[in-house]
Amino acid sequence: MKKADNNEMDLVLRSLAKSRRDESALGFGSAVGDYRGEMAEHLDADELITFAEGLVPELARARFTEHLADCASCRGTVVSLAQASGIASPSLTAKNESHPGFWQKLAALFSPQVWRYAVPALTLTAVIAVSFLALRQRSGREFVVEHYGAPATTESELRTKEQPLETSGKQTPSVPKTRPDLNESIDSTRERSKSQSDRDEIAKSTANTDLAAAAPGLKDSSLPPPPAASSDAARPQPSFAPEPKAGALASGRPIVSEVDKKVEVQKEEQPAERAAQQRGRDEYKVDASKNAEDKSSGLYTNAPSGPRRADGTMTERRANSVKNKRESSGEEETRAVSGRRFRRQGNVWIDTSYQSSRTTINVSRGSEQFRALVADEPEIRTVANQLAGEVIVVWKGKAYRIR
Amino acid sequence: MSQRKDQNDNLYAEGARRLLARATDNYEVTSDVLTPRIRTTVEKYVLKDDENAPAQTLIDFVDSLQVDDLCLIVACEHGNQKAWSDLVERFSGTVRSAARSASSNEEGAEDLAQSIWAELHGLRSREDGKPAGKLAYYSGRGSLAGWLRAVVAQLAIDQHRKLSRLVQTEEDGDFDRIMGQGREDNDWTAQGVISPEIEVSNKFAAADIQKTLAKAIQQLSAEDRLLVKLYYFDGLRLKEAGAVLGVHEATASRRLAKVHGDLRREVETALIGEEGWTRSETERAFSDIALHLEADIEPLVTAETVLMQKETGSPLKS
Repeated sequence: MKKADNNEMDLVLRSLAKSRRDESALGFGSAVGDYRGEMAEHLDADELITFAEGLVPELARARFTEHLADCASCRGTVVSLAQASGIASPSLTAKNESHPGFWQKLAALFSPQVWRYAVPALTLTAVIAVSFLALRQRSGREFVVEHYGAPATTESELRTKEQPLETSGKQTPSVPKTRPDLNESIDSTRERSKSQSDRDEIAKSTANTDLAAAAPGLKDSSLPPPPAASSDAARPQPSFAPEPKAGALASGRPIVSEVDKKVEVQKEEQPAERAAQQRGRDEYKVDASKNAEDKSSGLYTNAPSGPRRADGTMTERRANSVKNKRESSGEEETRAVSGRRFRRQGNVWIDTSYQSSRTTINVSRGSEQFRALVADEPEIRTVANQLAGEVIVVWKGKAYRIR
Repeated sequence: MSQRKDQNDNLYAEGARRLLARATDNYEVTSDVLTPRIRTTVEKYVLKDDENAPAQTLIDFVDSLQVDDLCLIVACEHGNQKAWSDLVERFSGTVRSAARSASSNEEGAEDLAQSIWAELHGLRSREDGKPAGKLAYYSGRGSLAGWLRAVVAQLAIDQHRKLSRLVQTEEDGDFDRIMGQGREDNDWTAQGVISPEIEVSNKFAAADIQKTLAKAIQQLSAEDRLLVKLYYFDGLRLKEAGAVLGVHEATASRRLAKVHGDLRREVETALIGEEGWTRSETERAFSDIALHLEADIEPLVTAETVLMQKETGSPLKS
């Protein structure tokens, strides 16, 4: 049955009811079976209230319904009674249900009505939770790959793979093709690090300068070519992925790990360090001051974190630490020459028996006075020869400052 | 048969003892006094429709009676003054409330509330010498408060009938005039008709549909017929009609939709089979009637709204 048909029937019934109500009010008999007179045996008060309260047994209920369907008077009474009892029943129900017991609550919780909705809801929640966890683990793994391990390796791999291709123009069997997913991750990494490309370039050049300063022998052989010369130089490089050495890449050697490079650099630094030690403390001082100037210029601050930067600073630190160690321990501060002990103070070797209140005789090396003095006292010549720079020596009650 | 009767009497006596055992205040009512009342109630509600009802059904029915109310009424019937005092004290408010609902004015409500106690006690005497009041008809199945409301309502209806009879005999002329006017006003087929031929045709069609529809309603089941009467003829809402029938509003709505379909089919079948209509004619007749009714209902709704506005003094909501 269509809804429109139902609406039409609804309207027809309303109209019929209206006409019948009016007829009934005017005293007509009813064509639909309602009667209000005394010819019918009406339901008594007990039957009416029993029906209104829904307490009639099934068979008796059918009989009462039959009467009520045709008796407007009894129906009206039942309606009013039902409405009156409907007002009273909610408060009664609320009173009865106001203090349900624990077991009643528990039974209500596990009732089929509750579980009918709870089970699908719980299942849906579990599915959503599992999906969320799975997606989160996947994204977390990608995050780790992007930020720590794989991209750096991938970048270095790509560089290893791309550079021979660019230089030789043919593909070697050992180098597989770049995977598309890796390309995507690399591109995203490049996008992110694009803003840092300039700083990276500056940091690389700074690190190269440091290494060259610390170990000049490495400059030509082990350092990569200037970035501008490389075709990849325009690309932004991630700060965490150090650039492989051009020599190794060009020769097809396997990529040396950063630790190995560091050891290699340290090995090559050792002779240079020894030579520097032999050049004396003045040179160390010059180096230290130079490094301090470099640091203050901000190059180190902007330098990328990486092994190359660490190598440059380590050389300096080592030299500084040796120097500081010597200064703090005083091991090189005193020296015994010709039975006398000399203490180094600044750039001056001072005889330990010298007192500042004593007047000194200034003598310049190579002067006539110096030659006369050493001619008379050959021990002073020995002292002057063994101790470079300015020396204050006390000899036979007199203090001589040899410059 | 007599054996069955004896068995049932034993059931009633045992039931009376059980009821008295759980009564809060039995007002000195004994099982011998209560047993006849229980027998009457069981015969009225169970055995009248099923003479061979099983014993367990009778036991369950007896145990479901409201013993405190029943003892109070039985005690009142037997002249227990304390019971009368308790009855008046506990239920005078209920009686006044029911009287106000049944009466159109406060004075009539007060008269009704006062007369109800006399009706309960009974002004006349029965054959056994006891007052023939309405107390003898309370079975204990429903609540005493509800029963008192029903008694008040029935008493109000009786008083209204007596009054109506007097009015009708005095105003026969006016009644005829009103009758004719009412029939004219309710002739919904005449609304909006232009051509006299169409008007006559529609009148016949509407009369046929009306007659057929009334028959179809009478052929519905008692439950469906009661639902139609409650909803359309008594003007109840679906929720209220469902409450009377003891079903939910949604159930009543579904049942009413089904009734619409059944009635439509019955009416169409009757019109085609008995009156010689075609299917297209029945469909067109329903559509026309519905169209005219929609046009009729709109001004009625507007008039009712304006009337409400005048009564309440509140502006109309657009």
